[in-house]
Amino acid sequence: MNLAIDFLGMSMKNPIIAASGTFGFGLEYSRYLDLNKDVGAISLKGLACEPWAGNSGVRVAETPAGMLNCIGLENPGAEYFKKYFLPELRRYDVPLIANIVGHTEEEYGRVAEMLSVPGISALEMNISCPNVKNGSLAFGTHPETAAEVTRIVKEHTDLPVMVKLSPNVADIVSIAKAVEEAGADAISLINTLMGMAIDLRTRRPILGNITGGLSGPAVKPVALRMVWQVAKAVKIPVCGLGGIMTGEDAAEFLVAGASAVQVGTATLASPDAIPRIAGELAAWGDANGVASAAELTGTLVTE
Amino acid sequence: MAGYLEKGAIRRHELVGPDIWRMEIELPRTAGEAVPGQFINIRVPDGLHILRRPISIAGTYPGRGITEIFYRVVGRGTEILSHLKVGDVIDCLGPLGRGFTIPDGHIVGVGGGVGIAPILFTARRTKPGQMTVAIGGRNKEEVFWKDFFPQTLKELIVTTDDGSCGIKGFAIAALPDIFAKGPVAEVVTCGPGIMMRKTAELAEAAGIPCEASLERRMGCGTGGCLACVCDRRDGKGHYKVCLNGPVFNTKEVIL
Ligand SMILES: Cc1cc2nc3c(=O)[nH]c(=O)nc-3n(C[C@H](O)[C@H](O)[C@H](O)COP(=O)(O)OP(=O)(O)OC[C@H]3O[C@@H](n4cnc5c(N)ncnc54)[C@H](O)[C@@H]3O)c2cc1C
Ligand SMILES: Cc1cc2nc3c(=O)[nH]c(=O)nc-3n(C[C@H](O)[C@H](O)[C@H](O)COP(=O)(O)O)c2cc1C
Ligand code: FES
Repeated sequence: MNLAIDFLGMSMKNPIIAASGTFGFGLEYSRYLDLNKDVGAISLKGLACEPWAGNSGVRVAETPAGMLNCIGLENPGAEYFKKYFLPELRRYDVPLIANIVGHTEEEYGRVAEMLSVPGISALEMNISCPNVKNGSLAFGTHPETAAEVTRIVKEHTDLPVMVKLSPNVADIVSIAKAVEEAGADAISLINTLMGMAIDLRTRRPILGNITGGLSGPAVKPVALRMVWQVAKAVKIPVCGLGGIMTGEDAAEFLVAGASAVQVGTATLASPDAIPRIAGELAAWGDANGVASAAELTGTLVTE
Repeated sequence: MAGYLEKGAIRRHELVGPDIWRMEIELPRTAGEAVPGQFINIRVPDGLHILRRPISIAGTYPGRGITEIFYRVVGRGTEILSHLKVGDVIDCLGPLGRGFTIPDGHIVGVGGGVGIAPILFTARRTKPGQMTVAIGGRNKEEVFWKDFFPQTLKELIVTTDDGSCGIKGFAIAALPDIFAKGPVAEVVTCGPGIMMRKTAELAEAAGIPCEASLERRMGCGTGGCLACVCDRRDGKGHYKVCLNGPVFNTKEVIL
């Protein structure tokens, strides 16, 4: 099966993007895989216009078939990234997606502008961040705030913009349509599902931040359902993620309507997960007479 | 230093102390490169547990390609590991992290609990007569470690809270005497936070460099997720324990 795809103006050698926050700035992984050919694209760790310190205390907890994290979007800021990481990263032949975060719409606009530089192929907006001006409700939880922040980012960049949706919402389709209307070039979903874990012995939360985001196989059914609903409702391409651990998981997301996928938690479990999953996807395609990854997208049979 | 993905067969697996198992795994690349203080990240071999378990390397036998660990059963992952048999193959990632510096001269090691494992590895790598080790436990069962240390140590001091083996009291109580007896090139420590803090205080007060091996919950173990951070003492943010550590000079971090 031909794995190469064109997605969001990027020529990708396979349809798998390293998910933000689980692949650092990529360089750490050059030891475990070939960044020049094994990874479709890298969505970099979320970056803000200023450094963020992240949360204190325990930042991860394992849960059945998954994990919770409350890293708190720690990052060194866009300037530092451009100075110390981007030059080294640009030596590799792999498209880079800057994942961006902000506390306010202005901050999103500012970081979008700071990262619209040679070497970056697209932006991915993490809109699960709390909006400090709006009682800390996440931007991504209402169609209006999601659309507004998308519009602002589009005004500050010429790069293609992918909006990453939060699953912690009542109606994912209305948010997807709102950001499409606001100019998004693609949608990725899902970000983590809000959860928590308790140490019963001490009756304390395990995570320093009390709550955290659930990822891994435990969220896959929710993610698949949301990708299917959103892909039916919008015209822009959809990138699916949430609990992809195998090539068949990836194929399911494509069938549900995704044009590309991302892999996060599987990389934490093993740093070579992406090439392994890509290999499995190709083998599955070959065994099932599928000529290309692109041909799988949206082929769910419901009759 | 980043490691290798290596699948290796268990060559020896035995209960050696209260809930503490010793395991020898055939991991030639790890065995060939590991230095004391580094760890391996072990996949729980049931397909259900997502995150690997970080375990310190306690010894290597490069000739046989063997890497040795000691682990305590505390939860599901280590419980599953304890049921594995000789010949079973486990998926490991290592050697990971930065180890102890180990300069020439007199080295003093202070360890408690499973934190004794990297001190044991250090002892095995130092020259005869180069290292003094102080280990502590609650009772004589918990200081079974003493039998694994090389006979060639300068001195091995064993302490127990209840006095059932060695000196009654804490391992750190031995430090002032050791420091008074002669020059010390470095102190290395791993164990409960309070023990490492106290050790660092005593070493720093005596003007001796001190390195501590830190423990944090980890996601990836390879520097990609920022789960494992610790605070820098200079206030300039964080270090990643899996990549910049787990061993730090105690002046670099807040213990
Ligand atoms: C660098 C390093 C070296 C270590 N060396 C050793 C060693 O040589 N021998 C030994 O017995 N133990 C060691 N530990 C602790 C060991 O990693 C945990 O005891 C083990 O992961 C517990 O797994 P579990 O599934 O049994 O426990 P669970 O509580 O079921 O585990 C749930 C999750 O929490 C994590 N976790 C639980 N306790 C700890 C802990 N104390 N530290 C870090 N993560 C934890 C687990 O890895 C897992 O992701 C080390 C930890 C670190 C960070
Ligand atoms: C440790 C960790 C850190 C993450 N950091 C980010 C981040 O900075 N920005 C972001 O958009 N998503 C972040 N995510 C979410 C993932 O990119 C992904 O959406 C989610 O984990 C679901 O995919 P998975 O099940 O394949 O991991 C993070 C996830 C994890 C586990
Ligand atoms: S455990 Fe992921 S960065 Fe250290």
